[in-house]
Amino acid sequence: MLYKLCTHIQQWRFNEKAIDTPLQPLYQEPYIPASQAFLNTRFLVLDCEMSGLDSENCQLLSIGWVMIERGRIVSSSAKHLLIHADRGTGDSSKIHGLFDVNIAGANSVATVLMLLMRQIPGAVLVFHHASLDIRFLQKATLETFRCPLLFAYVDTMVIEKKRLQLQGKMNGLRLAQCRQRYGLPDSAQHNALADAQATAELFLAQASYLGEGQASLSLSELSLSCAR
Amino acid sequence: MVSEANDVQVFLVQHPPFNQLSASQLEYASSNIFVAFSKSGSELVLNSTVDNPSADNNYKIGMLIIRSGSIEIRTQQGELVDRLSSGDYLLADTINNKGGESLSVFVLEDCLYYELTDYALQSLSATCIEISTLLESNKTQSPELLNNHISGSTELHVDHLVNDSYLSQPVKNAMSSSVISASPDDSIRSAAELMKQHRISSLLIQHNDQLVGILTDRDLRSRVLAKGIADSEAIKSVMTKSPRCIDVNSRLYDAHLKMMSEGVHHLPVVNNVIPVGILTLSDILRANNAEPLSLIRAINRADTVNELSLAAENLPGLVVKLIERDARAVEIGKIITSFSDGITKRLIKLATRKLGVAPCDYAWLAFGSQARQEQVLGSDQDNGLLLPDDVDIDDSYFSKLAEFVNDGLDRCGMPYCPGNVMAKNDKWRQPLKVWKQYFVNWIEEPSPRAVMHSSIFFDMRHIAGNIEFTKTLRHYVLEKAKNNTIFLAMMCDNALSHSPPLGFFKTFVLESDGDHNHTLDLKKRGTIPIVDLARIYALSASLHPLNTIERLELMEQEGVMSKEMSYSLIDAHEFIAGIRLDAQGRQYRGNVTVDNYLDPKELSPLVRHQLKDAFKVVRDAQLAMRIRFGGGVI
Repeated sequence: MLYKLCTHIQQWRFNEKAIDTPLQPLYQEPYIPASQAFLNTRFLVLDCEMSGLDSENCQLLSIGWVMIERGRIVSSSAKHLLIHADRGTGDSSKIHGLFDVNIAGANSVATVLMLLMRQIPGAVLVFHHASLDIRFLQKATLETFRCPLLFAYVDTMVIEKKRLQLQGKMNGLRLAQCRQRYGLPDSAQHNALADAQATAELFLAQASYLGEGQASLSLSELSLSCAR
Repeated sequence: MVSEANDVQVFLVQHPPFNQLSASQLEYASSNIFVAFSKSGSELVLNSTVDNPSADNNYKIGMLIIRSGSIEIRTQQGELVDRLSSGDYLLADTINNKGGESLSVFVLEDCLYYELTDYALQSLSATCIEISTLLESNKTQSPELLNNHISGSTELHVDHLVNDSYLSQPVKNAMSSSVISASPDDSIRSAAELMKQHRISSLLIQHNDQLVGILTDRDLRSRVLAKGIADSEAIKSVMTKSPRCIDVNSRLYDAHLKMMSEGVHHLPVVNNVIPVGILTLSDILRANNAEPLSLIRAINRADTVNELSLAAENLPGLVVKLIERDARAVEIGKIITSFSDGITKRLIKLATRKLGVAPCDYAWLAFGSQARQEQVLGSDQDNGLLLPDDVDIDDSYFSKLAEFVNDGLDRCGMPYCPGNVMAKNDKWRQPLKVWKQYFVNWIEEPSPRAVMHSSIFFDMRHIAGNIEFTKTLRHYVLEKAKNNTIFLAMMCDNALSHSPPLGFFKTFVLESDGDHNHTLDLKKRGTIPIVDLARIYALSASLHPLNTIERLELMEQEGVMSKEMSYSLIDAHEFIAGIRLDAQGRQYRGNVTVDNYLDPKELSPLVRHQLKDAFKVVRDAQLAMRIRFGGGVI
């Protein structure tokens, strides 16, 4: 019920501010009931790449996402968007392979956020290690539109953590480690889209193992939360 | 938006039939794919209308592609039909069998899979021949999938393997890309000097960066020397003006056709109008099989074992090239064997230089795969010396000769025979009468053990020396073996001990011993059964050929074997040997020890299905052989 309460509080706090901004639809959207079936839910699986871990001094470099509908990853929905950076890409470019020169032809952060917002209504977002991505997304949205995003989300890392706790295990929670436990193949690439796809596959695998499997699963079993 | 190959595309492009798709087709396929996961134990339903018909993007599944994990297909009675794993695909129509019995799909190991929509599959089949062939063959072949009983013959679809020959390579792979050119106003003499300096047989003539002519060796001979024209004249008076050109992106066969129809040996290669290279007839020949000739020349010129072994080092590279060019396995076998023969003959010549002329005539024999001209890279040597029946032979000479040749062969990449079937072993360096006695023992008092060890001797070919000796022995053996039913039954039983690796339900039975866990032994389980079969039939009818394919062909002509069976066996042999060669080529490229083992997982699903068909042909033929010769000793 924390999810429901939290959603209402956010709506109440920012509803006025959101009026006449691109965020308005998000605040007017009826909240997604936790009793909704997994197979009837549209999921937007998201991954962000940033120039570092510290949201004060670092920024978003790219966002990748892919949709899940009726328990299937819809490949044609995949998007990979690069974002203008004011500062150079710094150290993390070594990991993501994103260099200043790539980013030169990229979109403004406002454009990318608008595109993202168009996908959110009616969807539950999915992240692996949600808090980090959400911190960056909210900061960017606040800076651009003076109002945070409002959405429901699940975190595959939290799902995995709970599952392992039930089994009395303490294993690694990194995306690749989680995927390995479900026999999912190693992915060769590491960019926002590839990681979003990898997260989506992990999420499908987790959903198959939760409760009685995908067919009878509801959102309440997925530790649904509300973004603040 | 960044456009790049996503994970789905990266995976598809590695697996047939999708590896045949163009980039845009691949993008189309991947955007019509839905990714799903099912945990082990669950059943996959591929029926057309998915659970929720009200959802807006409803689709009918055309094909299922396994990304990871594995599934198995069973009949309604629970019989196993097939197992599929990563890279395998399944057509929805195969499962939702029209009219016939439908099949069920169960997840064996947690499975991530792609669903390609039927609509996309049909659209792809309209533009991609590989996919339309696949859909076609599925229409005709589904009942066979269910049918495990032994039938007459199975057709093999080897066509797709015979894809690009060397002539379909692009011109740019074979051309020489250095553009040496002169101006039309330069003197003939300076042109000749330029050609000599660069060791080229033709010169492009350019004026203001435009190609205006070509001057070749032949022009210098026929238009300058033969007509007594002074070498101070300008090139333009003798060059071929506005020569025929070939586009850099054309294929070699276009170039070859053009040369033939124009009667020229040189074609300037252009990119738009800019000359980027030149292609000569010998470039085309070199792209084909010109290397074997130069290698044979190097072998015949070697004056020491060292030089010979250096020349032989080029062989694996050459063979890998031939494999990549899709030369037929039987041809590759013959090429490798021709080198072994050449090296053996050269070694005998070098030995004679060192030891002096032999005290009497003799014959050098090759056995086994060298005799059949079916060697592969790293085949070991099997040979013997046939000496005359005269008394007083100085064996020390032949002992030294054999030692020299056997050691030399080992240094040239043909390792010593582990069974010690080599001329330097006293047992296999004997007069004719002893050899005859060996064969009489094997044929007239066969024991399973003796038959197992002696079968390679029945493939025997003359390499060097007095060929009459070899002929006499061969004739004698063929006469003895023919119609000796006990011997043939024993050979037959021995051959049946190498069975194709098929389980009862057309699944592979893998070797699980030692280092080679879960692999197929393509030699023992694939080619040897066919080789054995051909040998037995050939011996039963006194047929002379030694090569398995030639034996099978003659068996058909002589009516020893049915046309269907012999053709199917030829195809199966070519197919299995081809896969074995491919795998060995890959091993060689990857610097891995070259052997005969293959993990079926490395094969594409298409090839795997065909391999199963090929093994089935072998199994059918073995059964027929048992009925014909087998004494039922086993």
